Amino acid sequence: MATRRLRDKRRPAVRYHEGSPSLRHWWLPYALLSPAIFLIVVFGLSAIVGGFVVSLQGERFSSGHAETLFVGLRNYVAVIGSSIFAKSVLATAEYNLVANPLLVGSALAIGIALTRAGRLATFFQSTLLLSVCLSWTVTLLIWRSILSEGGLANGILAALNLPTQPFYTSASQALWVTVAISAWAGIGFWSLVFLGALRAINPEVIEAAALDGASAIQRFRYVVLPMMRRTLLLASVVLTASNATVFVPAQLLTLGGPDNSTHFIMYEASQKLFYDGRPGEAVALVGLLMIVVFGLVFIQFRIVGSDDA
Amino acid sequence: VTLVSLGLLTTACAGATNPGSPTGGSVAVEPTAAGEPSSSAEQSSAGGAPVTISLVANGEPRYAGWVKAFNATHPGIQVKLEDSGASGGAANVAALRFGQKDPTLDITSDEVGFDIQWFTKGWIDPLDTYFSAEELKAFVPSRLADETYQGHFLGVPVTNSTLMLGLNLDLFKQAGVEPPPGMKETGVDAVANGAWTWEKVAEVAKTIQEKTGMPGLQFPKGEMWVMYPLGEQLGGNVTSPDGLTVKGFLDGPAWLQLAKWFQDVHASGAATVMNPEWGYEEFTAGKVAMVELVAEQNTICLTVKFECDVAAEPHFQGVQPKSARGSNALVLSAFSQHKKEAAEFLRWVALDPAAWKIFEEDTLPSQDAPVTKTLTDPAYDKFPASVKRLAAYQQLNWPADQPKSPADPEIWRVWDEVWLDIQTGAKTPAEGIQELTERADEALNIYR
Repeated sequence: MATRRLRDKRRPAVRYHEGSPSLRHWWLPYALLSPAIFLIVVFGLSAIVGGFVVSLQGERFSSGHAETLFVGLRNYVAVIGSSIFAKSVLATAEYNLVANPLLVGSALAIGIALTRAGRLATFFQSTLLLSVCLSWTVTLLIWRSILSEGGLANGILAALNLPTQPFYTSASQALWVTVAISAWAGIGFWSLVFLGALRAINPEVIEAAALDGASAIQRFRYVVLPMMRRTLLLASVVLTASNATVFVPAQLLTLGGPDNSTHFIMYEASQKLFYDGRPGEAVALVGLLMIVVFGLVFIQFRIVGSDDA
Repeated sequence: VTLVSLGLLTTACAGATNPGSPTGGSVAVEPTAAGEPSSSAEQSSAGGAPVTISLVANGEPRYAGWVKAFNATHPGIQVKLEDSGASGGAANVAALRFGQKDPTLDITSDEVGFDIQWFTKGWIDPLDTYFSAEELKAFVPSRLADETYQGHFLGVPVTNSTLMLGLNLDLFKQAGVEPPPGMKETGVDAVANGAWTWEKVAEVAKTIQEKTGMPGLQFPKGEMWVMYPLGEQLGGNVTSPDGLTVKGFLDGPAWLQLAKWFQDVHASGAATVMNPEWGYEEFTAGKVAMVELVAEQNTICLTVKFECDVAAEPHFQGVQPKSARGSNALVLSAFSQHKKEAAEFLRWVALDPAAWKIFEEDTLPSQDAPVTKTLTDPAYDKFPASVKRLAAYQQLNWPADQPKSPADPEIWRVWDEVWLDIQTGAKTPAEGIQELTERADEALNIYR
């Protein structure tokens, strides 16, 4: 209750239609939104519709002649029925199930730590930005070098008389290596996002909870987390979408292996397009993935979200 | 992110399903008599500004050299080289542009097997109408056969990729074992006749590994196609003759035998289980005694600091040596608006000795005259230039059959994945061969 009151006091509701005369026109918000709506329609919705059309098309071949056909859901049936599909789904699901909570949890922990870092906070924030500044390609080249057979990681293990590890050349380790690299690459950005959200919380609220006798864990659970709900929802939605479409580590580090352990759905889709020359099946795969991502995002809104989220 | 991904894919795919581009989309051109110079350059220039055609290829110097030389002598046609970056990049870039029926793409370099798929999809025009039967005899027979599918000549073969065995003689000395005869000390006949068996290679590699601590043998990154001629030596075929069936071929005993040998030679420590990023760097750094070498690497011994040699491609005990042969080719887009001019460039590359000259500083070409000349030309008497002579000998005498299937690109990408897993032990040989056959069979479904 105290939280709600303080928030309401801090940010009184703005009723734009009662504001300045220039904001009184009913059409003005739509006019302001129109550029964004235009871009969404052109680059989003039209792509979805176009992709759906392509996914319903196939080809019939004769010598040097290809005829485009409407094949209904045959592309969807083909990709779902392929022997690699289940492995791709499993690899993508495992990656997401671990990478998303790991990244959110780690970034949140670092964000909290940074609120208590004192004068060193600026240094740590700058350091965290390093990984944000690196492209995925550079990040993977760095880690490929570190984790290679003769790389830094195995050098350290050998110096400590520990067994060296195959890392991304092992079917049992490659997926977790890509998860770890993904977490490393994203942790700087999300730590700073969470740090911003934490600093936006009015300290008086937490102090009030402490005065009411709430323990540190209770303050975190019942005060801090609810007030970070919007940020957490943003992180979970963005990470779900981006990690579900994970592709670069498979392309640059593992080639989808070993033993298909990193054969992610988007990797298979890219291979179907570039190597197999099967756009219909490639788009069908991405379409199926999109449906799953939309479903997950919807669930996240239901669980984490609320009216104001 | 998903929307953007879908958008990119959709954009890439727009029109990718080719609505019936007929083979006959090529402009009607009378077959040119052998050696007869074409006059289209003059015709083009007569009309005013030169016609510009595009060539998508990787950054290898031969393409830039060709463009420069051709443009200088053909004022009516200007070829614009569009560098696709990596060696496989041209095929990927071309596939996207073919999918959009891009009329600004005229010629592209392709990888082995891609042109059969592209022809099947109607993306490229066969070159039958631009070359007479007599002119086609200019090519090494095996390379001409590579580019001939269902009676059509699909692309101008550019290079050869016959395989040889690179040797680090320093590691042989350290281990106290004799190397196979190499081009450094002897002639091509002695080297070819003294080619080791793979059994011998594995045995010596193991000895070197035990005595020096260095791996004895390496199969380099991204070159899993080298397994094909090895399997063929054992009697294996990838597909049926029509290229549409793999069951009963790819899951045959030859491939299983090869897979077991391949996994054993790595598991025993005789060969190094490569990291996916390793190319030839381990060999050039002096960290491996023997490496499977492609003809394009014929000058590798100039780049190393150890005593280096090159031996003939090994073969399995009691069987005929066979080495890979296929490599890049140049193909003509079915959507090109300047087919006549593009064909003229292709004819120049294929038939004009001025174009062949570029291979003097490059790898082995695909034309019979310069390849045969390499066997006797004094310019190739001395090592390391003589390595090219060995490559020429193998190309002419030990060519493996090239698998031909409209699903070649699909099969080869699964091939790379599965043989890598067999190599690292992620799959048993039986599991690997089973998966390879299953996925290749799925890939062929739409072509049957």
